[in-house]
Amino acid sequence: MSDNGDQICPYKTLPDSSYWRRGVSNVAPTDMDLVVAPKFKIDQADKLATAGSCFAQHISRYVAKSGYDYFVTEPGHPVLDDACKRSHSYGMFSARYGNIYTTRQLLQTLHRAYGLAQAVDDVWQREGRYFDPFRPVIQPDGFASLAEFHADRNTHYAAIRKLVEETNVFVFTLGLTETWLNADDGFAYAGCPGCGSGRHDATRHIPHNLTVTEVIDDLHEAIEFMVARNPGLKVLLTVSPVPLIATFEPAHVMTATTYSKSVLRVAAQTVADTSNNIDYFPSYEMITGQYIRGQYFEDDLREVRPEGVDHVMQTFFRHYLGRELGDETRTGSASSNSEPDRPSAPEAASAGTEPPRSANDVICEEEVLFGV
Amino acid sequence: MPGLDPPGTIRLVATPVLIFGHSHVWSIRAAIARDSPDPRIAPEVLLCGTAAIPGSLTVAHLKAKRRALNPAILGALRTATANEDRSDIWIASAVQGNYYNQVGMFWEGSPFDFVLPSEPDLPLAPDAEIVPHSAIAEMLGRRMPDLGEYLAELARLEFAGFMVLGPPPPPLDSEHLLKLLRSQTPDADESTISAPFVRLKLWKLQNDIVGSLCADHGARYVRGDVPGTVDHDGFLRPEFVKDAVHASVEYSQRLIGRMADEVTATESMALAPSS
Repeated sequence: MSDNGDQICPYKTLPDSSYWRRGVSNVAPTDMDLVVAPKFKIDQADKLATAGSCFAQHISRYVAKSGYDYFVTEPGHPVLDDACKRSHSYGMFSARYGNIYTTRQLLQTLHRAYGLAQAVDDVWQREGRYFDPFRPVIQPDGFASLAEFHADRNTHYAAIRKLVEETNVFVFTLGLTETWLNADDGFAYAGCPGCGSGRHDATRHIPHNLTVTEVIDDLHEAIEFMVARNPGLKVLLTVSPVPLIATFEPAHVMTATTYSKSVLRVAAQTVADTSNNIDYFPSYEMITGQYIRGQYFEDDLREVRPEGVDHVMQTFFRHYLGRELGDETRTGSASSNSEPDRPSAPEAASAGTEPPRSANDVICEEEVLFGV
Repeated sequence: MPGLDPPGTIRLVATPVLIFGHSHVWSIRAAIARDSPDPRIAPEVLLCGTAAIPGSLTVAHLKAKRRALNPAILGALRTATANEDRSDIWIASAVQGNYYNQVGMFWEGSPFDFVLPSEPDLPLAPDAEIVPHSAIAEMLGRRMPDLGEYLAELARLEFAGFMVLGPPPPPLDSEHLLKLLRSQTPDADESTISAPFVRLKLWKLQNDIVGSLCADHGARYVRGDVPGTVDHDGFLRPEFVKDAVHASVEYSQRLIGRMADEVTATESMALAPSS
């Protein structure tokens, strides 16, 4: 209440971060910190699992190198050397599911791992080799036999169940809304069949751009599914700042990207607002925000520069892990996304060990599948 | 006239086969010394053992961009054929061959296994984690980094033919493996010996890889599961086992017969006219 009895403008009591001029215009870019009130902390003993789009691999890598418990339930048998694990996508995420770009993929992955769903289009065959339609590039040249395919999948499902039931913190990076669905059962493929993997059948493979309602519903259902089996689970949602590599919509890829990222951003916030155990981490804004004037993107305006990744992870470490990012965990000066041609597999993080990855080793399967 | 063969006589000339390699050659040499294994070929061991062939299979070439053959092998072949027509002579390489054992003869920790594409019904070890066959193949392949270049260099020497002798299959029981294991670690547990079919699959996979490389370079690949020396599953029969990784002289006698099969299957007989 002011001296003359009028109520004080409620904005007057807000912190600097609530004002554009004080929170953005007048802040040095490298000092920008967009996290205001994290909902929870991550202890060093907490098992932290990751899944999502290629950008999420940065989180995997940094956490693994930091001494925190990066929870990998499918590290690859120790008989395999590090190079083999890399080439076979072990440790890229907490289980060997490859990139999970959409919330629909996440939900069906959980259902399949618990035997609650079975895809009609369950295995692809090409030149005597077998491929998983939902993990088409996790293994060089696919599986050599159906027996191996099914044995591996059983191992994979067991690893997902272990992850669901034992992880303390699940970090999921939402990547895309555009997806391709099977016309018979609605299963979402990892990428468009026929683009780098599989064969395209226009009568069976249907393009679908997830709506905000669908993404929210998928996320809700997936998180509830996990929490039902792991009541203490905390979830951290992020949105990948990496633009679409291509759109099937009759729109410019930039406007399609804005739509996708907007949907994902709204969905992430909507879901995060439902629980104190679900939080949103603003890596998207940190990379794309006006304050940095696009400097965190490489010349192609799509790949994220290592400096950007460092800034994001610095902020993550400071607010959620309660420590500053050490030099040993920084990315370095190389480009932080996959190479334009078929990228090499990332250096895997064996359970509890440091992954000797380089900045170039992020796998973006969509780039592989599109042959970019 | 005295000394003339009757008309129509065809005299066979045994094809010389120059053999060189590492430890598997010892029993071949002993087999040759024991008797005349097969009249179709005249085997001769040039180099035998690691001491005779030190270093890697290939070395950096001083001028050319390709690799050069191990000097000991190249020197021995040149010396042996200095005044000979190479187009009448075969060479047989039995180098290394223990890659599969290096990968998985012994394993301490949770067991692993894999599905061999060519024989997917081979038993899987109980409680073993199934690892991708391609991953095991990748690791095996990395243990023989210059084998392709080695074969290419042997092919360049333009002998009548050349073959690569694969190692004998593993034995079923672990007696000799345990002896080997405990020679290095006296109190080692038998459980660190990989399951028999894992060892057999590793051996078979190695044969697939090396056989494919041989085909790429024009070499005949002689697999070590010589008929009569293996049981119905493909393990080396006990009577042919010498130690954890080597086979007996009796085995090598039969191996030489297989070598002769390869020679006669791929080249015409040398005909000697009656004089």
